[in-house]
Amino acid sequence: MSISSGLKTTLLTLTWFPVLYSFTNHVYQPYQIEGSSMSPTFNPKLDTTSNDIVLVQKFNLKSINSLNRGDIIMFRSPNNPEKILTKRILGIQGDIINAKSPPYPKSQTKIPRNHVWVEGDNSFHSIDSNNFGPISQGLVIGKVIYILWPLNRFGHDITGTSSGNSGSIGGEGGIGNSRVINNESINGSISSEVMKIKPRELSVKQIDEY
Amino acid sequence: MPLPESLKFIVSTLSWTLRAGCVAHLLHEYVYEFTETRGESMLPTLQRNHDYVHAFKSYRLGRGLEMGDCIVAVKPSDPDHRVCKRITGMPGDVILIDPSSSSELTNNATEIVQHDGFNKYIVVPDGHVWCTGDNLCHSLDSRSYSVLPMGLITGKIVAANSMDKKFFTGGFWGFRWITNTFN
Repeated sequence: MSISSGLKTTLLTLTWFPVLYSFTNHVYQPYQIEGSSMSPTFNPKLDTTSNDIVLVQKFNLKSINSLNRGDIIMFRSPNNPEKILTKRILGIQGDIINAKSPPYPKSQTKIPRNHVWVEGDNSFHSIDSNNFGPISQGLVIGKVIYILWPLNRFGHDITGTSSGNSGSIGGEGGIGNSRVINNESINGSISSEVMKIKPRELSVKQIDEY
Repeated sequence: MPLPESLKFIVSTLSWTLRAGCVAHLLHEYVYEFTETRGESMLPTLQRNHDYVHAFKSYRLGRGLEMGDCIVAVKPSDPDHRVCKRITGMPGDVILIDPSSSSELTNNATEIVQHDGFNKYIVVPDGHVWCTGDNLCHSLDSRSYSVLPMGLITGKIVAANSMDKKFFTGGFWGFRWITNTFN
């Protein structure tokens, strides 16, 4: 009797796993940050050598206004789809970026529609858009919203604008960066026009070919 | 205070619906998908309308894909839309981008020289593929948005049905396998 009831409990618990997995896939999921490319925002290695754990938002990533300059995103590396990178958005569609050249072949580039330009806060240890160019918004899998671990930096400001996060962020990764030429009026009108002509009524289930 | 029977029944129904829905969603995302396609770009492999394709999701992120496979991918210029194309270049391949841009059938002499279509090549970088529609004249593909990152590939198309066909015509509803045309 006790064995069969134990089995029943186990099976009933197992049925919740798909729900949990869907939740981590589409709502929120904690991630551990590896590497120093986003230092000092993540893994500053000041008082501890352990890796930071962050909370990542998985919804509202595909629409036009969901990603902004200064957001930290996680995305699949264009060069290796099995690898997930964490970088800060420097420019969004329509912006003109003064890229670092070399490694980027051109000194100035315009970001295409639904692409973003990403760079690490620690520009000396970062493989980013200066190497592989602007990335498609479809590669983005999440937006980092909180630091969960270590506890003394829980909920610490990650926008890269505070005076506490000085150093390389102000010069390289922050908002209002001198390397980004964004004409807000032009860019704004472009995105609003895009929204108007976007065929929203199409069902998501269909595969569109053009 | 114990819950009334009717409320218990409602809660248990909702909870089982949620669990079953999540299982279906995961199967749809990681195992198999049956979905409608539209558009002229894959003629004659897929019709313009009424075609449904069977996609295997284990090939997502470009895992195990080969030259000539039909894929479903997120459109690089619009993450809300998906495209269905054939892989015509793998990492490391050298691709002649678009010779038709200098074809003397559709361009005048100055355009032929200007576009220089017979002389523009690209090496497909690591983790990317070159993909084109089977109907090259009416397809928006790698020739316009360049190489496609494998991270955008969601599956491989293995078969298709035409729902406007009668049930017994060849296969059921015009069932046919979609094969790799490069082998």
